Amino acid sequence: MKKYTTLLFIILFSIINSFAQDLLSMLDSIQPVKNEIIYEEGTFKSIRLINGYTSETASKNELIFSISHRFGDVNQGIYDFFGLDQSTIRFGFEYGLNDYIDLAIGRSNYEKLYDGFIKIKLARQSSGNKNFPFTITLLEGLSISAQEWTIDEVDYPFSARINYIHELFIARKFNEKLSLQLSPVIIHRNMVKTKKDQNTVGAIGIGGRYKITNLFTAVSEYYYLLPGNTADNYNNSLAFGIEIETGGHVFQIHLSNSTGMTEKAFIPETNGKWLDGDIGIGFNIIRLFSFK
Amino acid sequence: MKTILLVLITVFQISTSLAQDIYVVSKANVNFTSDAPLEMIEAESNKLTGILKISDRSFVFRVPIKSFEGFNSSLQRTHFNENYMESTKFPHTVFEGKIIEEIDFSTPGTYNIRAKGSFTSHGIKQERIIKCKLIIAPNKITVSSKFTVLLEDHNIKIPTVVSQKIAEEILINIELELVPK
Repeated sequence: MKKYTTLLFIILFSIINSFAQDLLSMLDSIQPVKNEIIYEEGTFKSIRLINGYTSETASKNELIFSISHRFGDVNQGIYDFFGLDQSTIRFGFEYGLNDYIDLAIGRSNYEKLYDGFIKIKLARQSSGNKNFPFTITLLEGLSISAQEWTIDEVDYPFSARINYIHELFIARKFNEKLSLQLSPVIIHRNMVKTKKDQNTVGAIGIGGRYKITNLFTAVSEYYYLLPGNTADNYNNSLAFGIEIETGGHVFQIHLSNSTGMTEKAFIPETNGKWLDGDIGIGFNIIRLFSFK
Repeated sequence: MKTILLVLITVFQISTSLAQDIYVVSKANVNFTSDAPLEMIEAESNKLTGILKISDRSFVFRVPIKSFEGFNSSLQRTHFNENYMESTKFPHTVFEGKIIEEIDFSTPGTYNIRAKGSFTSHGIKQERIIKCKLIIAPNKITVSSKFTVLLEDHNIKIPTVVSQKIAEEILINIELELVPK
């Protein structure tokens, strides 16, 4: 009798056992979901926020071509077709050497500036096995003006045409909708227009994006000039825009009180005042090419 | 004494039969292709996991969506994860079910089978029958399959602006190698 009871017990147990464990939980115990390092991607959808850049770099073998336009002020009325008759343009290329370093060159008709920079991703925001709250990118660049000197008699050296820029982007993607960045920047101009102007100007930029739908994103950017003569005589740059993403293109249309598209131009040399209606329409078209 | 011996033997038999019963994925490659008029998008993952229980021919396979790499740009990969697959909300695609044909796993050879079960992607479950080729060798089962998934079936919406760049039907190609646990 005892023998049969034991046997029955074993059979019952094995049946229960095979039923109790469904395959998915068995899979979880055999091959569990690994706690890997998850790097946050797409903090910003392009290398440009509006006038300034973002913490994003071109990824490996990716070429990003951007064309930017800034039109005149809308308060000039219908005679200038709300500023559209005047336009400032910059086109540029940015190429990813690897996923952390990219190189860029550009040309703008604002003071006939040639500009170039290197962007290095120093840290990436990550979760999972390794937690780090920010993506940090360093930008080191210079711009050279090719404009003819207005005073012929004075022989300025070539170095007078050069401006330097050092900028750090500290960005955080809070969720799929919201990303913000803080960008302290130092601009050094070897020559300035008047004696009162500062050669070295510091500023702090704040910017962000908020995704409205899968296609439309609202973007905004503000650069605060650190106190000094430049801050007294010029205005802080403020811009609002809408970003439209379609696979290989990012199209940005915005309003801003700045007409320049390089840091040297829009951070210490913004004359426009939002309250006076010195607002210009502008757009950036950013196209991605991949060479894999 | 005799009883204890019997118990031991039975338990041992059950445990050994269980061990041979379960096959786990040791090597995997999943790739998908979206062949649209204006753009061809391809991506692949090697992170598929899964098990096959040969006693009742049941299986489960799972692939993490964030593990897909390839694409034509990093922006496209971000769009894939954020806008279309919503991979933070729905991290895996799972196929769970049974093999219809009663095949003999102890005889090596090539078998064309149909796998029937629930295919869950983007949080939407669909009953599917997927044709597969099994190559059974001693201590190894190779699975290969090609099938398609309709975006509409899984409530993945494509904006009109990019409709010429993303195919409505995605081709999926799977190669797996399973070994006894």
